Amino acid sequence: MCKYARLLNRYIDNELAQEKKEFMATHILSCPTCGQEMNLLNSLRQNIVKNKITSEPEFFWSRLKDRIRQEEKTENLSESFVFDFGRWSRKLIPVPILASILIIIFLNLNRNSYTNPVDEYLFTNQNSNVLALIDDAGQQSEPGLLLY
Amino acid sequence: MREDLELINRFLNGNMEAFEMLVKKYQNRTINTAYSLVGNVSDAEDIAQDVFLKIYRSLGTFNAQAKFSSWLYRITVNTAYDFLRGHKHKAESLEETDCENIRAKENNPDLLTQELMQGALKEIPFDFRTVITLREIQGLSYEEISRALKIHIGTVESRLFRARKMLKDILIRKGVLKNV
Repeated sequence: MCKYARLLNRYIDNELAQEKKEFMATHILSCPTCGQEMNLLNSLRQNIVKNKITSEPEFFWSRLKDRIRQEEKTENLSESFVFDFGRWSRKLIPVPILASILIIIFLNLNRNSYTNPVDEYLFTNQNSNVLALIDDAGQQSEPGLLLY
Repeated sequence: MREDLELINRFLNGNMEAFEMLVKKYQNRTINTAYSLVGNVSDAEDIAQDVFLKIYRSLGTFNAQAKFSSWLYRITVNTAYDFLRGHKHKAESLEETDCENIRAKENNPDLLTQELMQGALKEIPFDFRTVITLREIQGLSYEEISRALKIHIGTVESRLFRARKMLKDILIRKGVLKNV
């Protein structure tokens, strides 16, 4: 293979600057390897081009138009489903929010009315002890002492 | 290029006829590119249909600074690639049918050469097949290929060189080309 084989490819593709193009044109005349390679590349090109389909495809546009219509129909259907879903979700979303608010309010009410049983016990016993002390001794001692 | 932009703008303003004109202008090029990449006419037509459907859906996102044909070729190459990836098994089982086709076309040298050429194209890697298709079938320059495939111009040149070398060797082996 000639060292200008790569340049030859660019030459047949018309991708060389004028100066290099002129150089290659002269080189091909004097280099049998490049001359032969150029013939091969030209035959290859002709064979590839022969592979082209020249006839117009039948019903291409009408087929495409049908597919577009079909796709738009499906899209509209899915869009309406999404829209319905959105509308329903707009209606349904306030329900759990409202329920949560009600639960919070209910728990808070319960918490306010709730008394710790230990506190309740201590409070009741404290009063009765105080009363018992007054009854027995006729004078009140420190209630704290009676708790222990 | 200006004509394409005009058609695109008209389509984006709701004119379906403009899209039809765009399709009719490019349908043969798209089918030919796909055919050269997948090697079957009806598959090529299906791929072209998918390409235009993709374009229909995404024409609104098309960058007006770019060339429509470059965008189209890129979509075609990608769609053909996806097609081949999805039909690997089918392609393998069709090899026998290909041989029968070749036998049937033995009386018609042109058709036989075409068949052998298509077979040779199938033998080279997809990336190489793509550049040779865009160069020889579509007649794009190195710069246009580089823009369409988003690869460096040097890569285009080296892939073309290697693709031609591979094709030449295959066709000489098959007797389509004669190495003097």
